[in-house]
Amino acid sequence: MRRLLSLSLFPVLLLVTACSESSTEPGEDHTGGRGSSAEDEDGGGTSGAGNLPEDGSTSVEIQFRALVGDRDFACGQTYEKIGAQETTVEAQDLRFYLQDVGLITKDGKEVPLELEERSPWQAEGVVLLDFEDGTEACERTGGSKDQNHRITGKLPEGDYEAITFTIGVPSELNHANPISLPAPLKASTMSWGWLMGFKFTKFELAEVDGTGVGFFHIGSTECDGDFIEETIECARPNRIRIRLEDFDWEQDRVVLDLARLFQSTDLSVSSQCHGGSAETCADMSAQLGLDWEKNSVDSSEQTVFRVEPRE
Amino acid sequence: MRRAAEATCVALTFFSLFLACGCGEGAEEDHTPTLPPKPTEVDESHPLFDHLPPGFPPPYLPPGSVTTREAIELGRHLFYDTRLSRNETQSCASCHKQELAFTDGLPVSLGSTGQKTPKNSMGLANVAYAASLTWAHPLLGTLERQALIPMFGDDPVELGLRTEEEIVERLGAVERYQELFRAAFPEDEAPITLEHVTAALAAFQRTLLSGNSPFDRWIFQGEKDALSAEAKRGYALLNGHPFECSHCHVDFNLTDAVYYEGKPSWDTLFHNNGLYDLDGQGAYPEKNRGVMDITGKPADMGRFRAPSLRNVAVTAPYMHDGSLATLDDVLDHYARGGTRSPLQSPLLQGFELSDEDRAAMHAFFESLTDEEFLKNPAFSSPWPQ
Repeated sequence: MRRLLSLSLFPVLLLVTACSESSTEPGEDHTGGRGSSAEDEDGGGTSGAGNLPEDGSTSVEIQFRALVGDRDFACGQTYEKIGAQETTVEAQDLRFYLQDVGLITKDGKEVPLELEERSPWQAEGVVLLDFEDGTEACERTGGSKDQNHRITGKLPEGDYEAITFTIGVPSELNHANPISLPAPLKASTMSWGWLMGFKFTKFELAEVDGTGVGFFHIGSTECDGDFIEETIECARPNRIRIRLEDFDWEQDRVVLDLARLFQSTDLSVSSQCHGGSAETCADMSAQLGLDWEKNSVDSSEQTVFRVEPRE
Repeated sequence: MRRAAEATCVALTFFSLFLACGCGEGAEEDHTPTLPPKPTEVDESHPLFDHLPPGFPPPYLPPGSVTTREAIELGRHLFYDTRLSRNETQSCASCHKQELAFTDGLPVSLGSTGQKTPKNSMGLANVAYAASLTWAHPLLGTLERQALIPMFGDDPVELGLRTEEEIVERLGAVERYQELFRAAFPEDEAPITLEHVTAALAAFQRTLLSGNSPFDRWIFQGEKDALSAEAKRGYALLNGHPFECSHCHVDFNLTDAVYYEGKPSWDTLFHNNGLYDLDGQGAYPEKNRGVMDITGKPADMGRFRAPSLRNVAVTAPYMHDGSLATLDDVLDHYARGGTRSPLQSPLLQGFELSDEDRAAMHAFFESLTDEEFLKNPAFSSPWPQ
């Protein structure tokens, strides 16, 4: 009496299988073939650009820079007068996921950037940006030495004047079992197991000689649905759409400043947003244009990201 | 096999008649039961099916689950291996000890870095039948996925792993694991993967069946004298008015939150048992608000999965936060009708608890201890001690 039951696998499993087939094996190519450098940083600024694909589109590299006030975010660095109580802090973590990256033409048309598959930083239309190297205070919370400060892809030649991107991971990938997804969507300290998804951001500063911290971990919360069909929906998606004007991808780079993120936050005490509540998250998320009470995003309200010329 | 299945059917029919089962808390439920997808094949050569305790229905095996003896053996090695924590101080078994029915005896568990978790370690007896995993998670349905939470979680840190690569490299350096993974996944060129780690852990945990307590021998195996008269009276109290325990502690696993092959609906049931009412409106402490911590819905405040009563005499302390130290504390909590929170289940009305009734309940609780389960070498550490 052997009971043969339906052979139907649900679609998400099929999707996940497809994803894993296109992935690079872990450890195979961590630095994109950039020799022994631990940093996949900037890449000289030209590694992607200049190679014109045959289909008439342009290879594009979007560079990012992370600051805490007036200096670069770097593990081991300390920064004075940060946060509402002007606390001396050190860098602890700075990683975040982006989806839906696009440039905007002069006539206002948004053109999606077709992301290069670049393991372990880009896959399935998602990018992980990583500014920590796992040393000093960054060792506490789960980083590794590799970094990524750029997005690579291609888009049609055109006259672009603004950039837009969304902090987040698309819902169908966010709730799928990370075990079968390609990097950067593999299980790691960016996983948010209990919320069945990823932390979209892991922004952390820690007080020097004290117990204060500022954590901004945000992802989709208030979720419900059917775990069998993996039809999970979240009342707070917390995907943060950012738009920056006057951006020339060849001349400019995107800057984010954690001092701005934490400007209304007391970093001399334990100020931890784990995506949970207005008390812990509203001040920080407001700096990104996410109005906690309204559960809506307005990029014109954000203060954390800006554009500056490349060096 | 057919005879075994019929016996199961008869036993279940008997059981449900006996209990006059009613989990009549539909009003509390907003997770619409849905039919799960069927597994590709229920393979009755699975070791689970070889030794299903009498009265137990066939377990549901999710698609993609691995069911071989080799995978189970691999899972047993992993379950008891401190290499699964980053600082190599903890294994799964650190918080799930066999002699305590796979709990840890602490109010709340400690992670590998010493950080306190907010939760009491849940027993793993019959976890193959759990309709959802952990204390209060309506979206977490498989052991394979659940394993990632203690492995990679950082709020709190439990096993403290950080990347797939570190665990794969660490296990790959151990000759015994090279053999075990190759045996469990012979068709894979590089069998040591995180996916196989979680699959094997799940396979092992599904074998943790507890169904040979005195209670089982009495109700499912026809041993009329396996239970004392006092324990039988305790069981009657559990099922009767005004105790009303069996609304939640029902069926072969003495919990309503079960799923098994052939069950018509997958109900992930959660209840507010009136443990807290911090503000007169039913508030629970932060980070321990039950299903609300996942869904954000105010109505889900304080709703948790009812744990099985099996082996309950060895799984103190009790409740999701271990805040009730003894079974007497638990009985007193229900006898007083909880905190009278506006959110607690309306079934909690309180009752008089005489000394005789208390003794009868204890006798019943003791009858659920399955000594064979607590000592079964198949469930114990395979590593040299």
